[in-house]
Amino acid sequence: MQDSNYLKAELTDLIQSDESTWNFIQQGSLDGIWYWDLEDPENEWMSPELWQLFGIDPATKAHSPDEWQDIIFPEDLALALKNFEAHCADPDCPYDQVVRYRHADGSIVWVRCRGLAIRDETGKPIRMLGAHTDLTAVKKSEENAREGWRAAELANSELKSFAYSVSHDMKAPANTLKLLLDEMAHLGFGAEGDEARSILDMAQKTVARMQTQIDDILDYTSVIGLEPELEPLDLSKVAAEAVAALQADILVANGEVKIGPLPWVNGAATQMNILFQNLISNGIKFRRKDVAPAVRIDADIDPVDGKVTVRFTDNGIGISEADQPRIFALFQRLHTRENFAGTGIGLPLCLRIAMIHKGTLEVASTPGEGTCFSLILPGRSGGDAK
Amino acid sequence: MTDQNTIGCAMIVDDEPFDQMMYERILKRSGLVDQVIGFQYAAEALDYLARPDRSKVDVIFLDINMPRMNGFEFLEAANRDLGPAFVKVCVVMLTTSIAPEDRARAASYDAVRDFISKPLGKDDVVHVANLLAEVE
Repeated sequence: MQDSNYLKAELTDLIQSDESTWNFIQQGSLDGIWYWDLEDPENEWMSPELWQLFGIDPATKAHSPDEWQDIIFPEDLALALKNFEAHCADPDCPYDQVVRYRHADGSIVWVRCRGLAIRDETGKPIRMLGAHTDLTAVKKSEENAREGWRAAELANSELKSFAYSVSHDMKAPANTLKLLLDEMAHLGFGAEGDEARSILDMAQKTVARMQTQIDDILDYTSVIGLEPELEPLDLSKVAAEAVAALQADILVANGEVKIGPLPWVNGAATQMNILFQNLISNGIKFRRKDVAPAVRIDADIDPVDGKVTVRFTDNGIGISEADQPRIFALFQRLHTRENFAGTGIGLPLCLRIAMIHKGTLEVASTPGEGTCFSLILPGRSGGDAK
Repeated sequence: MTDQNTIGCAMIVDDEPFDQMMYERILKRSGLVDQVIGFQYAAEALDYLARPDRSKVDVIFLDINMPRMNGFEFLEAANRDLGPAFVKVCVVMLTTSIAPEDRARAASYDAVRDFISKPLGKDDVVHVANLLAEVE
């Protein structure tokens, strides 16, 4: 039998004769032990390791049970005392529970606390030996896993609603195309003339619209769920590049874009470019009849918290207060396609980009006068203030 | 065979101009509809319905996803502003919307009599004409 092994007998002797062996075992496997005199309950010896786990100097403690009862969570103390009573009455009821203590730095220490009553010949408990095991790291990783799961759930439900919105939005032009093709079929093969030509023209426009829609959705998906590397970015350069890319549209509209001095921020160049292009092109697109569109971009830095506010101000048609909450919702449009082209993706995309940069995008507008979008970005922490 | 029921005046509220055009053709070609009035903004349709001098509207084909005021907001506003006069109008939801909750929400309005998935076809027109005859 294994129990008769000579080494086991030797170890038992060693523990009894050499204190360092016992210390090694308890220090190597436990995070504190206690030994309570149940005949004189004011006395409870607690090992230095027990106090060190709570960030407390053992020298300041006087081996009184009040000392641990003061820093354990009250509801956990109640549980421990209940289990203590039960274990004293019946050795088969284990004294074993996970409880929380308040660390000297205010954090929570999770401890598995186990104990064994030592009884006299009548079975009456006279001492209690207990052991602590630190579970804080396990609890923390449990919490992290839960948080990760919650984040994944959120991302998943967002993706689901995105997929729903996209499929729904793509159904609209598909439906239009079906109507037009049905009409072509009704006119008959080889149909010619103005009617057939105009239907064909509408079908082509509808397909072009589908292509734009798909391109915009691809732009959007390339941004969502991405945590890009943020690097020092010269917004003046971003603005100049965006204007250059939109040059043709600006010229056709007889428009003007004025760029004031812009600061450096921490940003992702590609995304910031998409944001600037979208906001500038909105300022040009949503222009009033007979008023040449003018977009002004300027910025200021909050002297206190270093926050950067970049304003995109236009002189366009404006957005009524009632409509303002709608503009950042995916696929929401305020105008029919005849009046202003668009897919309802641009502003949600810009908001997304602002959020990825830990910033926000706000709108202020007076209908008939113009709109101002404010991109608010956190200051460059620890960086140069330039 | 009995005489086919007809629709006097149909209103289309849908922001897509091409869809409007095609629906108008389908309705007229069915031979069951006398007059078609179209609106691309729900708010304009609402203004029209509030006019005292307007002609009688027998059925409204209503889209859900539209810029600014959507189909549900239109129903809400029409119930509030037009009251009992609106409930008498027969509304048929005409939409690409595939969500069951949209369907349930539409069904909760007294004026909404049916829910047709786009695109509208000739059979749908016959169906709506019969529906109108039942209501009356």
